[in-house]
Amino acid sequence: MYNAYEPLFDRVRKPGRYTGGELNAVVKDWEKAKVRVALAFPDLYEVGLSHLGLRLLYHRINDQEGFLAERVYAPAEDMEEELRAAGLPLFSLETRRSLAAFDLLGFSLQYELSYVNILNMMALAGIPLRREERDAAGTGFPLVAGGGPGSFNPEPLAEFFDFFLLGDGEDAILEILAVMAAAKEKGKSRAELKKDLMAVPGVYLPEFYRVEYLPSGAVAVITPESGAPPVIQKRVIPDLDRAYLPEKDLVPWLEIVHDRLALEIMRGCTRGCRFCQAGMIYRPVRERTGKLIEGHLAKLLENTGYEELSLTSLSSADHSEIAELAGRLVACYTPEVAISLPSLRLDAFSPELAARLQGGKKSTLTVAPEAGTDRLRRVINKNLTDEEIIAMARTAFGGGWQRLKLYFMIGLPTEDQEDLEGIVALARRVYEIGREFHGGRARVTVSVANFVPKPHTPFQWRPQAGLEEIREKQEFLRRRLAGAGRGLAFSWHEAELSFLEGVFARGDRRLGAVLAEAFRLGCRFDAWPDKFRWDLWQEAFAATGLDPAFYTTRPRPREEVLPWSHLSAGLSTDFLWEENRRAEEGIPTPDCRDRHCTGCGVCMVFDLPFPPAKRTRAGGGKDA
Amino acid sequence: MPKYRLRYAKFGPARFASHLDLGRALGRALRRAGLPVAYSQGFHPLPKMAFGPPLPVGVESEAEFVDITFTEELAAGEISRRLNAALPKGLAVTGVLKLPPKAPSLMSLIDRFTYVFLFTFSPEDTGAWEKEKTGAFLADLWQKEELPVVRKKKDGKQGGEKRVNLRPFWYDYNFSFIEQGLLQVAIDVAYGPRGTMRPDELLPFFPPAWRLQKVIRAQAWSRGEPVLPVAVHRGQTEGV
Repeated sequence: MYNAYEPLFDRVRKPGRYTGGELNAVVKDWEKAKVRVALAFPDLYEVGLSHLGLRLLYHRINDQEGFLAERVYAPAEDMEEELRAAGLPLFSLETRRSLAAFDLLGFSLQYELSYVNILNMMALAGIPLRREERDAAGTGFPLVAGGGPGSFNPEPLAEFFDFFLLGDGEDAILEILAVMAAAKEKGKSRAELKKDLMAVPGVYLPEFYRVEYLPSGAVAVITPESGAPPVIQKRVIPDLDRAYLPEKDLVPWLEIVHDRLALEIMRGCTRGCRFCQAGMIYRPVRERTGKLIEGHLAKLLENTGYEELSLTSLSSADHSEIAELAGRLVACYTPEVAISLPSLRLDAFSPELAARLQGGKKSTLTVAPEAGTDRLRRVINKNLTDEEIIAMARTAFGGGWQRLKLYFMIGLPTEDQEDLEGIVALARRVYEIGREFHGGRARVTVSVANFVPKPHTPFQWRPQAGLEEIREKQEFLRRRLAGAGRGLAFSWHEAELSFLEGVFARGDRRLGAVLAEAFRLGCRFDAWPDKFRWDLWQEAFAATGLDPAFYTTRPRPREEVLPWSHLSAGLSTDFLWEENRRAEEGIPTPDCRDRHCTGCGVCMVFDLPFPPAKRTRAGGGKDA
Repeated sequence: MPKYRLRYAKFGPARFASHLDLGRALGRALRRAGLPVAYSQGFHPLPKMAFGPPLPVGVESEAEFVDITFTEELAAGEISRRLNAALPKGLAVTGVLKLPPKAPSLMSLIDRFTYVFLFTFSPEDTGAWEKEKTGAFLADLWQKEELPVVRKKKDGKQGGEKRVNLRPFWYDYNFSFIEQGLLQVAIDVAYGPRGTMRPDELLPFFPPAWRLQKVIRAQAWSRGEPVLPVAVHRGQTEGV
């Protein structure tokens, strides 16, 4: 397939990012497709192809007659330069067509700091950034859509996008494409098509919602227009065993970030950590049964030949059949195929099985206390005690692991000096235990992230810690952990990145201007610390007259109209507020699968049975 | 355990796959094919494969080689049939040979490669470059004693550079016009511990009017004989 792009491939780094041709890639007949979709991930190929959701949708669409899906990822800087110099548009991997040639351009919204890349990708394909400009141009340009966690507050992107899908996409995507196919057949206008899309549950078209602001800058009211529903309810697949699951998967030529076969064994999580957006918006928890997982893995391994498989979910160790399932898979496939579990509870597995599932005892085992004291962990509802963490460390080091990673967050609500001291004390104690077992070979990495309050969580009203506060806390930890031992390392996240993430996480529509300005100034790949340009972002805020502190460090009162208040993950606001209050008082809320219903509202809204997913091990257990 | 030498071609979407990428792709294809490949010991066992010299990224090839150890004897034809059914587009097995015990490795065997360049011309240059002029140009280049290039050292962080004369590594050449405006130039280059050259290193010495369409590694040699030539083994002849 020689074409104008070939000479570019010889000049860029890792041309395999752009040439497609992976095993199980689907190249459908362009002319025969009624609706053509470009599935886009606004980050590099190696990151984007690692994302399970987009791979799922890719096969879902291509399995249907009449629909076609191709892929595109953010071009690296060298490719962007080549495209601009050659005057060629950004193109799809499968048939190397401009993104502008598709009917639908769907972006995966996984993290806020990828948003500028979205604008860049549209611009590189010659697609007008603003929705109104595309509408004015007639029917020529694709509809631009988004899905994923970002859809639960997509307001900063509202002026650029035609619609967003909230919630599970497996079935909704086909309904959307059916509406598009019908509109195309009947020769409907772009405006008529959008009205039709309004009828698809879970589809949010921002142009039909008028947002007005108070003098303070907060939202005054969000008014649905043209018959748009007052609240968009997310989509939920009630039974994962009956949900679509492809029997083949893409096998890349290049080594990607998660270069392995991944199967989602469970969706949602009910542990109820109050800081965790995923734990809130993906409710209710739903499991695939072990038998189905095993049967499906056999097919996928046969079709891909992967040497590693991963059983993914938000909290895989909570799957009710996990120990038995993992044991059978290990017996069946290892050592030629490695089996990994993204989260592990050492108490749920034998040491041998645990080692198998974590890439061997020579690899690093991760424990996530999240906060430094029992008190603060009760606040965030991560109900581990110091003693339990110490016991876990003892089990791990005693079981043969030499390297342990401890995950913490700073800037959590109610956090004080004692909590920071707690991180230091815990890290030192864990390191001492490591030294007891392994002497100088013991390694403990203390990884500290900065808490960013997210929409649809109990902390959505809470102020985010400011830049200075985070820098001081990081400096304190750095100082106090520096002399603690050669094998004790400290790693942290850039304060500015987390701050900007916080702006867009809880941002409103006015931030679209900041995104456009940052893009114009040359910001790209903001999630990559080496590419992040805080100076340019500050310039963008100054140019648009918006104050980032308004979106981050400001506490929001209960009665404030949040920019996402017309978008629902099925959670009752009363539940979120009550959780926020219980946090203040340090009252834990148990997992609803272990005790009683916590009243989050999801099962009721979607008319699902309670408890959401069976769990055979009574009382659950502590997660690592 | 029986060891087999496979000759394969690498083209199209596979041409940008690095040496490491290729190892992964072949390992996965062997598993898809269900072939009884032998694995190394340990926590992360790897298929026992030994590749020939790496191919520069972006270059296509008709002469790539890998030695694979299986746990049981297989007909050569079965290996190529089952593997070809499982390989991704861009890789194809073209010959299989069972190796005798203690057969020398590919790396120690191969001492020369043939690369083929395909050039086209702009419409105005097509007439200018006919057989005679092309022959004279290449003969002139061949007569040169110095073909200097600057190589970046592997640890490029220091920005280290090295001047290298390509001429001792260039063994032979010939050329032909497949049709008017489509020029094929074949070169033979040295491979081994005393040094080698990448085919693209010679490109700056060719006239700018020659527009490179592709580079193909066409043959690998050992002491003047082609390594596992396709012509002999396409029928998957058994044994040596």
